[in-house]
Formats: sequence, structure tokens, C-alpha cells
Amino acid sequence: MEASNGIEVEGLVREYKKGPRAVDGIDITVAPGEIYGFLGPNGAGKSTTVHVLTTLLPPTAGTARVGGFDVVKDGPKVRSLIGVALQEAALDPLLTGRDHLRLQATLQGVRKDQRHSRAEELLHRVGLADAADRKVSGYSGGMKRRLDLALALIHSPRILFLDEPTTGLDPQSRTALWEEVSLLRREDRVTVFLTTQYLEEADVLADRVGIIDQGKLVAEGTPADLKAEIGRPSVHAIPHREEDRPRIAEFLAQFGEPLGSSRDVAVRLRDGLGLTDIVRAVDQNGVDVADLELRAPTLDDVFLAKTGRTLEGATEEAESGQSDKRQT
Amino acid sequence: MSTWPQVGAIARRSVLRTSRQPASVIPPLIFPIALMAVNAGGLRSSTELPGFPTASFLAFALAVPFIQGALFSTMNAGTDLARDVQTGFINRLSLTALRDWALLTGQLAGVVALGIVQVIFYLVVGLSAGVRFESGPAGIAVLLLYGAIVSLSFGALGAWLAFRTGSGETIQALFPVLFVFLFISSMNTPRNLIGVEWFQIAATLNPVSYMIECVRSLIITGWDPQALALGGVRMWDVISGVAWRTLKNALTNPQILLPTMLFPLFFFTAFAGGLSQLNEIPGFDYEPGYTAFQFVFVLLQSAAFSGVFTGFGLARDFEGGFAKRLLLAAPHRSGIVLGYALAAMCRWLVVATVLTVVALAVGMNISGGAVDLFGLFVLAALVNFCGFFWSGGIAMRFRTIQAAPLMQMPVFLVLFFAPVYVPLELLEGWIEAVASANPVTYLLETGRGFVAGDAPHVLGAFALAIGLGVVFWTWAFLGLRKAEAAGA
Repeated sequence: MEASNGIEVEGLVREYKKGPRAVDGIDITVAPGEIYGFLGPNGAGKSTTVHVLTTLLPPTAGTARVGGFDVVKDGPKVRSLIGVALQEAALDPLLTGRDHLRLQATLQGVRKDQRHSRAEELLHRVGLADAADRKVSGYSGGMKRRLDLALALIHSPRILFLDEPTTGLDPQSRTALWEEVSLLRREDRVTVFLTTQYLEEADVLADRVGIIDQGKLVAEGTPADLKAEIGRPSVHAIPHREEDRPRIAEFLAQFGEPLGSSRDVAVRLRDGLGLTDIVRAVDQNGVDVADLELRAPTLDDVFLAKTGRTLEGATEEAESGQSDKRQT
Repeated sequence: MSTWPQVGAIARRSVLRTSRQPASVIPPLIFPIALMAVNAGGLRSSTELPGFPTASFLAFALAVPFIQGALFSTMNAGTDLARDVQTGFINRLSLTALRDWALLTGQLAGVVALGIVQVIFYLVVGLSAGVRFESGPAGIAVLLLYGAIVSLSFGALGAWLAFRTGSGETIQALFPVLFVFLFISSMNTPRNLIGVEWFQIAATLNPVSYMIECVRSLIITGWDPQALALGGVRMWDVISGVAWRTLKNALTNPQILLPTMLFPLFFFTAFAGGLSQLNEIPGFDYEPGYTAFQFVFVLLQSAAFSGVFTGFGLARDFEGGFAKRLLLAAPHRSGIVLGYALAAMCRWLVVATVLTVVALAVGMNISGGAVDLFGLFVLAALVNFCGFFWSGGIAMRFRTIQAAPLMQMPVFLVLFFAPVYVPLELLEGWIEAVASANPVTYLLETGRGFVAGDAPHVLGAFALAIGLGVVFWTWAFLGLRKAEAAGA
């Protein structure tokens, strides 16, 4: 592996003083020029892992090398190699977009004679040239995200960390950001470590995906390989009436293993069965369904298979856990 | 008689006296080399540690004698001067036309001469033992110059101790203390390979580590442009970037600028105007008058509070997450703290300029000369650093603006428990007792003395301000470590 552009993590643990293990012994290898999607629900340990890899947090145990440098012993060298856009954009509302780029270029040691041209180039690239001299307090969420990405790129980093970069963005901004990330990999051979809780994002962008839950890496591979591991498609039925749900669940159970979905009634089909078999049986038995759908495996199915929960359910669980904590 | 022959005569005496005392010459030459030999033998296997910067432990360890030798300079300069104080020789000299600074310069010139001899000796030993100097002849020249400067600095410390204590025994007793600084440094292991966390922090805070590493880089790394860029230029990039942003916010936003400007002007007007009749109290004999008396207090207060207000900004940056951006971008994070400190200084200079102009416009008398005024502003600048490093230390520990009262209340109290309205001699009761024990009192009296042209205990006041600065500097940098450990 080319040591200068990749990420190597071995047995990484991060424990908070009065909390559980946020990261619990994970091993990750990201190859140079690869987009690695780190997928998991809220509170799974994604951001903590990024904080450790970007030298913001020291690990409790294990080792991590970024760009060939140890994140504990060679923090300054790691920081000079990486660009980071964290979950919260953390911008100064009193500065303009251009001020931010100027500050970031200075901090990152961009040569004085290149600072202005690099800032202009990035402002155009992220579509903020017209808003460059406005204070950031007047920016929309999408504009702040784009500025954050420009700031992360100011010193042409070899490795880019994006922590949930599209959370809260409208679909158009999200697609634009995806294109930008793909371009960075394609044209600049930048290694991208991307955390997300959106399945589609990981599916579209990532060469390989690591799925993290409760601090542990539960699956890793290309999206295609992970889905192939699950193999069989699933059938999802939406009942006409809510009270029919148990009867439909019982009926569908004869065709495969039930899936714990909160939105519909679903089963993973046994080998050899197809949608026509189900439709025929539904007709013959007079089962009243509003909609019947055959789905190829998704990363959510992978998550479900590995953890017993859907990604959405796990996120809701994490959020209600946090809200319970707040209430108590 | 011209002063330079006086300097030459004292320097010659210093060198002669040292050279005629083998006990003063031999230990600084032999002891550091002996310690290096012991370490090089016992710790040779350290070079097998992953990431150790050289295959030769001797080359790694050769930097240590340079600094250890300088510690001996402290002892020699201090002990010689203390002996002169004890024997009354200083009194004899003071009866001649010899000027104070000529005595000190001459004494230190002798120390520097011996320092250069030491450096040459260490270089010869190193070369004879097969150490290759990666920086070549130019590096050796730099080492000689560096040796001279370090000897001068440490010699000055020894001289200061001698004048303060007048006792050679006391200075000798300090030797183990200085030695501790040497051992709690990167003397035997590169800082990034020190495994024990508290020791790594102590070595990072210890200035001796950087002195050793500077010499070491010339021996084992040579002229490493990347290291120089990272160590110097990059540090300056961070300092200037953080200072620029903090100042831009502070000076272009009225909500931040106005309180900073109005606060001291309000105090100056209220005290100098409203309390001017205090000047008539019997025993109040401050020659430049009450306006100047209050000007000094408000100047020091504005210095302290410009530092504290900058600490508020730092706390806000941690609370809002902006500090994370700085921590992620700065290769050397101490530059972030220094950037805020520079901003605090610039911010205060703006306030101090306005305050001085206003004070002069309302007829403030100044009896002191330009040097006295310079002394006053340098003293206030040190107070500014103390104010920032104190509040910055709090800001980085609590990382919320809710800690603001904790930052400003102690500063407010310590300032107002000094003789604010009348001189110390006119205070009575508990406030007199508190003010006498308050270090700000001495800074204030010296500052007022500068304006009056007759400053008392100047050396003590500067030593106190520098000492407090070192304490609060350490406090702030330990705060930075806390913030780093918490992930900001």
C-alpha cells in the first residue's frame, strides 16, 4: 500500500470517561485514492473515529496511521496532509467567506502568492463567488457546507475527511456535493473518508463501505459485495388496513424469514421464489394489500442482517436514547 | 574615561579569575562529557526504537553538553558576582568611575568567552568520537554563536541571582534545581517517543527541550528546510492568522470594539475627574498629579482586561466549534494560543494609544523621560500577557463563555485590592494589609514611579511580571493540553 495517501487503523478504541466505548476495537484500511464510506446510525461511533483520525481526539488504545504518519506521535504532519469538513461547519459568523479562506490558507501554510488565486478558484468551484464578501451569518445551510468543503480543500490535501457532509442539505445541494467528491477522487486522486447515515450516499459514492454499530465494525466491503452477501431479495407488503398487519405477516412468513421493518410487512424470500409466486398466492387467498413490492438487497438490508435492526430504526433508537437521557 | 575600556578590564578580570580556578574550568568541560559518555553507553539501544531520528546515540546526545555547559555559566557568573558582593569588592568598584552596566557587561563578556571555549571543547570531543555534523562548517559556526548566546543568557540569570541574593551558597544550591530542568526534557528521548504522558507534557513545556532540539537538529538533521519551515514559518503563519482574524473581529465590530474602548475611558474619567480632590489629602505627594496617578492604574487595568476580553473570544470559539477548525489546521497548536496573545497585545495597544492621547489632552503631567515611559508600557504589556494567559487557561479548560465571570472576577479583584485611589502609605486597616501583599501593588507603584521619573523597585517589578507571565503561560498551555485531550 502507498503509505503516503492511505489510512491504516488497528484495534482503535476510544473510551469516554463517564460513558461507554464510543469506538470499540475497529480495524480499517483505506487505500490511496479510495472513497471509503463509513456508515452507521447516530451515536454509532462514526464521528469519534473521524475525530481520532484527524488528531482532534487521542485514542484510548490501538494505532492509527494517516498518510503514513501516526496520529498520536506525528499530529502536526498528519494535520498538514489532511482536509477536514466536520459535521458542524463551525464558521465564524462575523467573517466573510473570503475571510475564512484567507485565514484557512494562512493556517495551512499555503504560499502567500498563491493564497488569493487558490481562494478564488475554490469560491468558483463551490459556487460561492458571488457571496464571497458577505458575512457567513447570512449564508444558508447549503452555502455553509460548500464553504466548509472549500476550506477543507484550500491546501490541496491528499486525504479528505467528510463527516456527514450532506446532513441537512436539500437534494440539489446533496447531488452537487456528491459530484464534487467524485471529481476530487477522479482528477486529484484524493483519498476520501466519508461518514454518513444515508444509505444512498454510501451506495452512490463509496468504493468500499464499513458499517459501524455501537462502536464495532460489523461489516466491510464494496456495496455490491455486501449486498451480494445478503443475496436474496425481499418482498414488502403495505396492508390496506392496519389491523390486517398481523394476518399479512403470518401469511408472508411461509415464503421466507420475516424482516423487522416498521413501515411495512416484509420477508426475505427463500431461494427459488419470485414476485409472481407471492402475487399468485395473495390472489388465491384473498389477502388485502395496498401495495406489494420486490426489492433487491440494499445496504439497509446488510445493516439489518448484521445488527438485527434497520438503519432508520437504529437511528430512531439512538435519538430516543439521547432524548431520554436529556429528560432524566 | 570611556566605558568600553572599563568593560574590557572587567571582562579580562572575569576570564583571568576563572582560568586561575581549575575548579571553575574543569567541571564545565569534563562533567557534561562524562554524563554524555555514560548516557551514550547505557542508552545506545534506544536508537532501535521505531522513529528514533538517528542511528548514532552519541550524535543524538552531543547536544546535551552544550546546554549543560550553559548551566555551569549560570553558576560561574552568579558565584563570582556573589563573592564580589560578599567580599565587598563590588563596593570598591562602585567607588570608582565604573558604570553599573559596564560591570555587568564585562562580567558577562567573561562568561561568554568561557562559554565559547566550552563549545569548542565539546565540538572537538564530538568530532574525535566520529560524530558527523550534518549541517557542515556553517552549522558549526552557528553552534559557536548559539553557545555564546546561551552562555550570555544563562550568565545573565546567574548575575541576576547574585545581585538578588548576594550569596554564592544560595546560587550553588540552585544548581540541582536547574539540573532538574535538564533531566525533565528531551535530553535522552525525542519528545514524540516519550511514553509517559505527564513526562511528555513536562518536556514539551520545558524550554530546555527546545534548546537541546535546536542544537540536535544541526548535528543530526542538518539544514532541514521542512523542519525549519514547520518550526518557524508555519508557527508564524498560525500566530499571524489567528491574530489577524481575532483583531478583525475585535476592531470591525462595534459590539466588540466599543466596550473595549469605553471601559478604560469610563474608569479614567470617573477616577481622574471625580476623585481629583484626593490629591489634596495630606501625605498625598505624587508629583505629576492625580490625573497621572489614575492614568497608570487605568493603563494597567486596560492591559489586563484586553487580555481577559481576548480570553472571552477564545472561550466563544471553543463553545461555537470554531476552535476545532483552528486545532485541525494548525500543525503546532501552541501557535493558536500565541496568536490570541498577539491579538490581545495589539488590541490593548489600540486602547492604550487612545487612553494616552485622552490623558495628555486633559493635561496629564509626565515627569519621567522616554525610557521611563517605555518601561511603563513594557510593564503594562507583561500585565496584558498575564491577563490573557490567565483567562485563556480558563477558556481552554471550561470551553464555554459561561466561564467568563471566572476569568474576569479574580482580575478585577486583584486590581482593585491594590492602591487604586491613594498611595499605599495612605491606606489603613485590612485594605492596607491586602494591598501590601498584592503583587499588583508593586507593578502599580513602579508604573507610577515611571511617570514620576523615579521608579521604585524596577527590577523586582519586572521580575514579578515575568514570573507571573511564566506561571500563567504554563497555566494556559496546560489548558491547551486539556482541550486537546477533550477533543475541543
